[in-house]
Amino acid sequence: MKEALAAGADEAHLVVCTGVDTLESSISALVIAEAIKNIGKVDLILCGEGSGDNYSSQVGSRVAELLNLPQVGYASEIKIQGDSVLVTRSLEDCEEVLEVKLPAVVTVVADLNQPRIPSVTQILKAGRKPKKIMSVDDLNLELPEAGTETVSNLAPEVQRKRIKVKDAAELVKALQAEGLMGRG
Amino acid sequence: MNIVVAMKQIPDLQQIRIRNRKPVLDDVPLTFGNIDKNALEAGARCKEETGGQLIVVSVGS
Repeated sequence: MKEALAAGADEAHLVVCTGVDTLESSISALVIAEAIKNIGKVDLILCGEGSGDNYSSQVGSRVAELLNLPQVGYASEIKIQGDSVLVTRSLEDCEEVLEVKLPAVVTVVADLNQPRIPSVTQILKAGRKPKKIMSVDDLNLELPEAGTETVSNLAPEVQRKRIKVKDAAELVKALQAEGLMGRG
Repeated sequence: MNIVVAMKQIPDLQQIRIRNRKPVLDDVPLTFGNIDKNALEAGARCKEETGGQLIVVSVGS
């Protein structure tokens, strides 16, 4: 959480769900929506297009639905204009620009910006910023049973290439052929 | 203008090892997803433009 506070956030709210092994998207969205309601007046809700681990890309849309707010997905540019937001979406062969009334939920794509690297002072200051840690009970929320079950989670099998080399020169040649050496 | 960024704490993908085709998550520190960091940056820029509060919300098990 400190990482986010150092990179520009003013406050951090963490909801701890104990007794749950994996949080499926519908439950994460439910908890996030409730935490947002708890904050009070919120004008803009931003999410990544998908998480770094499961990448279900559902939570942004689900939160919008639960809060009954308009939602725009895969934004590559965001511009606030008074009480609305101008969002550009880079689609396969065109750019779509939408004007959305606030409050709204926007999910963003990775190439929208370059995240800043916080300075040492910002990192030190982050420790003093308000952090709120809540439990699901604090939000008066009862979590439903998970509707999905992860049956297996396996890395793809990779076949060894079994390339035999006699000397270093041949090894270099083989690596170059695979694009693993001498690039650029 | 109050902006909320929802971020997910995930195991650091650079430090996960694969054993028997399964990810080994022991002792892997938590970090935020890369795209979440882009969302935070977008929030920070909007906030700098308009003022207000930037709040990060995260859910963890």
